[in-house]
Amino acid sequence: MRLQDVWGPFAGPNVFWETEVLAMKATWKLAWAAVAAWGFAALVEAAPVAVSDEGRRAQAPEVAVGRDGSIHVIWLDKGAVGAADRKGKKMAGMQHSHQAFASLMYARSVDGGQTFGAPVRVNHRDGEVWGFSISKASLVVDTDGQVHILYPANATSSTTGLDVASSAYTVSTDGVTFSPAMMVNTDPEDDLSELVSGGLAQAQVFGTLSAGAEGAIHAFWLDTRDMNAEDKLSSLFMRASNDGGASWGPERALFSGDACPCCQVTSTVSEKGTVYVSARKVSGEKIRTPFVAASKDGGDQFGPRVSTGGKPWQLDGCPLKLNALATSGNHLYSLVHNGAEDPPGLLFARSLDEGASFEAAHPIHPGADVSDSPSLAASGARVVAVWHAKEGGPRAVYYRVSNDHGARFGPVMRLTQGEAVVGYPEVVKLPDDGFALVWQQDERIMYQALALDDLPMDGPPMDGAP
Amino acid sequence: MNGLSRFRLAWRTGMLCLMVSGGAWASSPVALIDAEDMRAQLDGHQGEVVVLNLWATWCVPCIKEIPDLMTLESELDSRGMRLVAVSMDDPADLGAVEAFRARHFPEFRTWLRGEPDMDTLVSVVDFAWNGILPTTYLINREGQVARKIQGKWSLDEFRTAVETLLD
Repeated sequence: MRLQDVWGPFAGPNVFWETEVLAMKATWKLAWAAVAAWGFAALVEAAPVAVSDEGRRAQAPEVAVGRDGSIHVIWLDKGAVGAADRKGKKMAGMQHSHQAFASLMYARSVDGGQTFGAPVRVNHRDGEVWGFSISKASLVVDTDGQVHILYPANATSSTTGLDVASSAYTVSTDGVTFSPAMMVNTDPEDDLSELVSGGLAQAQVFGTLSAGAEGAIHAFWLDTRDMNAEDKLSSLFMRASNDGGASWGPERALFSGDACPCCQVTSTVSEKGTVYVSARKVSGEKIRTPFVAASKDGGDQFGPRVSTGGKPWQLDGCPLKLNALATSGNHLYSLVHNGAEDPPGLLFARSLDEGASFEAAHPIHPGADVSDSPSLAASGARVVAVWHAKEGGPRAVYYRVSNDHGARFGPVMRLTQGEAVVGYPEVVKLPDDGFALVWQQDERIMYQALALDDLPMDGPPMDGAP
Repeated sequence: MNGLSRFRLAWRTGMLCLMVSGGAWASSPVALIDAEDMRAQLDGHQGEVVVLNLWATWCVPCIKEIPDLMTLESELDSRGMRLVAVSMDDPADLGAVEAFRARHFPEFRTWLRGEPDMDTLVSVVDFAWNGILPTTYLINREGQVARKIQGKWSLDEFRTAVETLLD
């Protein structure tokens, strides 16, 4: 029985009925589209807030949140817009002997991200920071509200007197002033200028920080001291503090001589206290594999390195790609660029056993021409992935959300619109189980909170199964 | 000396000056290049085979590759190959890049990106560049990217690939 039979005398000729059915279907689809559009529009909680000052060249933001809800943002400051002479004339006032000079700026919001205080400079000496977009500073806020920062610093070796790049640590108890920088690495005696290049005799940089319970702070960095002329690789070093950065244990190599020297280290700590660290191991014919190593004793001993997956990526070059990590319960999540993919892009993988193994990795943004600059945050079963990508147009910031520990993700969502040059997003979990983002937009740092409650979770499983 | 000889002498002197000034340019300081300049540069090389090399002072494989690229240029210059090198260091680090070039590769001609964002510049030739260094584009005589090379190549690999485009 067809519907028009039920309508009986009210039914018109079939041709009209079929037209009406088509109209109904179209209306239905339009209604769904409107609902979806409303739902997606409602995801973004507030308009973006500019964190850095106008007229300054700001790059590479990082964000952390305190227990009290305070939001802390750091970024690289490369000077005033237009300070670099666009046709190569000598630049007035820029007499730094080191390359990649920058300063590190910090701003804090105590009203949930509605406003940020005036930026303050973290480094005491102007231009001290050896930083660019893929050599970021790292930021954590401990349970006491202290702000800990590790940044790559232009320095002079205490042993050779030569220019080096070192990992500098500083802490703030008031969010306004920062302690004088302490170099977490020692200065090796060898002059490796011909290997390290860039005018540096040694480099102990591309580092990160993570914070555990009861004052545990872990600093990791890539170290050139074991670099040899044949393969020019780095070692993964660490140093830990158990008293909130007041004193530090000795530095030590976790993995020697086989780390990709320019892929920034990442680290995170689970609620149970498992410390995860990730870098990229180089083996065989320049195969560069992202890995995770886990420590269940607070960072004293680390287990074997476990690949987070993807096709083997052979490259005699600098990937400059970090492996974003997030953890929740026994779950560990990874999001990392793989240049062996076609097109090259980000792969998401998850571990259900505290980093002992990873399920197969899958593209997070299958429709992108290229995707990069990953960041992850997790809370309970929810995982939020952010990155920048190109999808037939200008580069934009995208995100996806999973409500089931990364088994499935909702649709790819585009956060930024328009022609502005945007990228390098970072995501962080807020105390109320919300999430917030910072990113770089036309050389300013932007902040925006996300409200995800209405997000439909109808995406396919990450393995592409129906 | 008749008038014709004087003209020839003046002509040759002028050409010599041009060659000398050209030689000076060959080791000229690093200059910034933005996306517009990049398009103009590449348009100016239509009909030639361009080896567009992206490098950085902190990229060890890039640095190892530079002598080979300079050799390649000297070998194949007469056949129509042009090397266009662009440092991906920050525009604000112009002085440091120039110091690096002058110290390590004084005969190396290179630009420094003048765009704050690397991708803005590289998008002139590659919409989907993924930030890898070194990246080298082989651009044929029609101005099209014939090959994208990521990671360090040997001189022999470059020579073989470029000669294919020159033939």
